[in-house]
Amino acid sequence: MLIRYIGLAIASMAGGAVIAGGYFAFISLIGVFPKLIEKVKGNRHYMLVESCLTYGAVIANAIYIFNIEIPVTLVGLAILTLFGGIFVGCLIGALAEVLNVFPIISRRFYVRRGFPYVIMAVGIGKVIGSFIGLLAYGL
Amino acid sequence: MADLIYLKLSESVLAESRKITIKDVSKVVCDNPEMKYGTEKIELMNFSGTKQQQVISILDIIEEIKKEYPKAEITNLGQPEVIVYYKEFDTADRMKQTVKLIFICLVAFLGAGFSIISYNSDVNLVGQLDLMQDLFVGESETGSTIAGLAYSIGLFIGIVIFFNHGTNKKFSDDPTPLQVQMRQYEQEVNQTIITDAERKKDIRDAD
Repeated sequence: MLIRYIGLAIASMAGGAVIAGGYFAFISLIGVFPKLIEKVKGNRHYMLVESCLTYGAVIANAIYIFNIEIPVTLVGLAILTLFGGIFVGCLIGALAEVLNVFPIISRRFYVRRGFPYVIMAVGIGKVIGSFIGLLAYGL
Repeated sequence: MADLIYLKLSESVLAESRKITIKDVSKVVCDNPEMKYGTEKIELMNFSGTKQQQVISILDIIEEIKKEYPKAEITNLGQPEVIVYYKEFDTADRMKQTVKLIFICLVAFLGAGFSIISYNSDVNLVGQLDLMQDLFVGESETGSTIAGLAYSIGLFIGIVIFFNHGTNKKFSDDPTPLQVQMRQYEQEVNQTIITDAERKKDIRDAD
């Protein structure tokens, strides 16, 4: 019986390590945090930010897997989801940028000026779409 | 014989004062120490008003040196253009920087947590761990505590290996992935500023 548990543990641990590698490669290659850290002068705080990423993921993962209940009240939940939303928003924007969506559209339609308005439109569209989507889920 | 001056222009520099001399943007090597000193002292530009960045071309720098030493032969071994950033320091700035850093850390901490949970629920990870429990141990056992624990530890190990550090101490001298990304981003920004300045003719160049 013990050997089976050991096999299970090794398989799960290896799975966790591979998923972490892939997941964080995605987050760091998509370049959200380089741009955010750039906003802080001197930009020598990258290790601190990386540590925050590490422990955020590890703790949240444990909370999810083991169903740990943490009473943070409604306000706390709002703050948590606000920052989650900011992160996902950055991720979506960065994904569009990495895939060169805007430069390609700009060249196809010969639009050079007024591109900030296009980006604004994308942002507003995303917010409205997210609201409608959540309303449809009955939130 | 003409004196040789070797320059090595930096990619971008952050100026400490409004007056920019050649010493700020480039390393200078010259056989004649007096000439080296004189070259370093040559004033290139003065930041005025609210202007915070300026692209200076090597041709402008050569011109300025030629005014001082008409016979000098100049060789540049560095970049063809340099970007000079100027920013006034004030005490409120430190405070603002700290607040920004805390904000970024919060986004990193809670955002990474948020997205790993969304990943886990997207792929139904708990269900998968239950399935693995069934396959490895048998259906009679309940719960998947060991698999969950091992998965959580494995996740931590994977991230630490990827980022090359767990706390503020690195395991080896290699730069971390974020560091590499940041330098790449910096180079792309510099290149964009130079190209933009050339298009707008907002570059200090030879006439």
